[in-house]
Amino acid sequence: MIPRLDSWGKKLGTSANTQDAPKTCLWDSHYGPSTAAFGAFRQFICGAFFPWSIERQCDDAFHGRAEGLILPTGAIAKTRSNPITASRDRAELNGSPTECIYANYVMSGELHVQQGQHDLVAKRGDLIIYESRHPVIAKEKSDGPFENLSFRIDRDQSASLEKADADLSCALISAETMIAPLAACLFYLSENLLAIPTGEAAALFNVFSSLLPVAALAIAKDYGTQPQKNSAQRSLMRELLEYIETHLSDPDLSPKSAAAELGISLRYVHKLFAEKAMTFCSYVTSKRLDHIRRDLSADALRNEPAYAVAARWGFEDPSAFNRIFKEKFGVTPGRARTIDS
Amino acid sequence: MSSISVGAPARAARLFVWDSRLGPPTRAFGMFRETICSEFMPWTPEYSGAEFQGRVESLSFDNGTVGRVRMSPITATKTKSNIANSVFECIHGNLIIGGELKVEQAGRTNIAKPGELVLYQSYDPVVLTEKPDVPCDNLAFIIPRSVFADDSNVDDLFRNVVVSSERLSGPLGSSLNLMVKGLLTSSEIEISGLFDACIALLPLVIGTGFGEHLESGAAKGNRRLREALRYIDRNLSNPDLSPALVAAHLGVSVRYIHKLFSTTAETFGSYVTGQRLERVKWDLLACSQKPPIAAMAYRWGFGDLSTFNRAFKSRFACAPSRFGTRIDS
Repeated sequence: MIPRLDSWGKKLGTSANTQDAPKTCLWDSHYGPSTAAFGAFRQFICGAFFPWSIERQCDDAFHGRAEGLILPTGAIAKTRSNPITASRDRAELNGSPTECIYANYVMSGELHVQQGQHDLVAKRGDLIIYESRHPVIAKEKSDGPFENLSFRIDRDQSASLEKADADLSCALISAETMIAPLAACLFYLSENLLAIPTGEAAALFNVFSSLLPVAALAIAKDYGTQPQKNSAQRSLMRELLEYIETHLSDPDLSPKSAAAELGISLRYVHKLFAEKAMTFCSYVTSKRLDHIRRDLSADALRNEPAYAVAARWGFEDPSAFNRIFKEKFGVTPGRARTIDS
Repeated sequence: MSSISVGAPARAARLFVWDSRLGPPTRAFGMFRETICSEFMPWTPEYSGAEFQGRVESLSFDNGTVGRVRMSPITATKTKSNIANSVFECIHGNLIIGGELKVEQAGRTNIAKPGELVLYQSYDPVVLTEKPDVPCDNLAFIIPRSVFADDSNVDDLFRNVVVSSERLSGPLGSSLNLMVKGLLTSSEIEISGLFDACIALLPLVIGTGFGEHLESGAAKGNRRLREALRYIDRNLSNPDLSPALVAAHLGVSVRYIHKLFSTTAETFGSYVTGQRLERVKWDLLACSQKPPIAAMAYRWGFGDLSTFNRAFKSRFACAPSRFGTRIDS
């Protein structure tokens, strides 16, 4: 957390391709006449994030500071200023040189983002993502200064997004649903962007863009859509599912073994599942079937009979296995094997 | 709330599964030697125990392979002739889940225990010994050396090093853990994203001093200390920023503030000066029209210019007036 001495100058000097070297940029209302501050801020934002139309929300003196890093595949900026309303309409969309994904990690205040049918609110610790292809309105709300870490990831340059071919449209990744590595990466960047060598900030930007599709997928499948009663129960459910995940191949996996592992009652295990409109048994069966389907299409197991693969995951009766496999996937194990390979 | 659709990856990852229980037990080790050791590049494995058991599940991407390996403990050697027969050079890593792994390479012996990560190279002779009598369980990955081509230190970085579990509580550690949990159940896109993140993080965590902060600072840190640092961060330009001011803001004693800092490597004074200098450095490098140096020093709370000059020089080994030029040249 506490920055230490670095070798920034040296690092930049040794970089083979100076074009790819990260470029720092800055806006600071202290360094100019106050009348010019807002105009300079607009320039900073449009320089790092392509054209935006930016309005302030009141006529108070505009002040703040923004530190930015322009990278070969995007940009990061840490901004702290009076709340603003920023929007991109046809004119701004057409003025952008390339398509990109925007993301804001809120550090203080609230950010309201409206894009298409989406109307989302990000609070402190939340990450909000939206894209450059459609008009958007982002409104900052805060009693004091609004503070956030903003990202621009260029689509055609980012290998991770290209590989995922991910259509990351407007989405909110709240602090509670964010996968741990992304949360750690954002927290670290928000505290240390200024102090770490630019080469390392650039590496963390790559970490961020690799993890973004993972985090977005994690919220999309976040164990059912029902809101949780409380976070304690939520984490218990998570632990329970993790226990099951790691013991799927164990023939002794049962509600009882799970209850013992978590130190809760058998009744409570069943209750947790009932609230998700599932049963322990149906969940475990379904997960085991997922594994079997993957095993079936693995090269090394190509010549294994399906029932042998099924037996390895605890299905002793081949005809019962065939029936439930077909119930879940709509095809027989043999057919699934042909489709998947 | 959100609509996310993800298409098929441009190039599908390759799934590999091997399970000793799907063949005759007597042939299990032979099969393992023939399939796995050729799949994972030439090795010379030896097994002396009773019935050999194992299961390997792995996913291969363009930039490497990650897999879960569970098996009876073996000894595996990479000899000079194995190396000569290898098609490409790569970095091996094992996150130990169960058992222990002893790695002998480059004249050093490391023993990785559960929760620890060990890294070694395929192009330097190595002996791996898994702790006898305990099933060995680990997340293994292989990354071609060429993936790290930009990093000139790659040969030194990953030559038989162990990363302790304390140093794996940040983004790298949690990415590895998510791969352990989701290797077979998560989509390929997710595993591929996590794998890419690990590749970007490895040189940071292992190669630089700040890796320690990256992996431990984010997760730990006293809440009070964080509050204090946050307040300091907001008030750096105030020349009167002092332990007393921070103490008053947090409603604690000045003594307590000093105590908070004693848990870090710095004192209140050195931390504040360091933070101020980092901002001046950024301003020096990033301003298109450079304000006078005195204005920057004043903006960040330095009372007098000679103190500032001295502090700057001792931190960056260069006078502030020459700082930008040195970078450009």
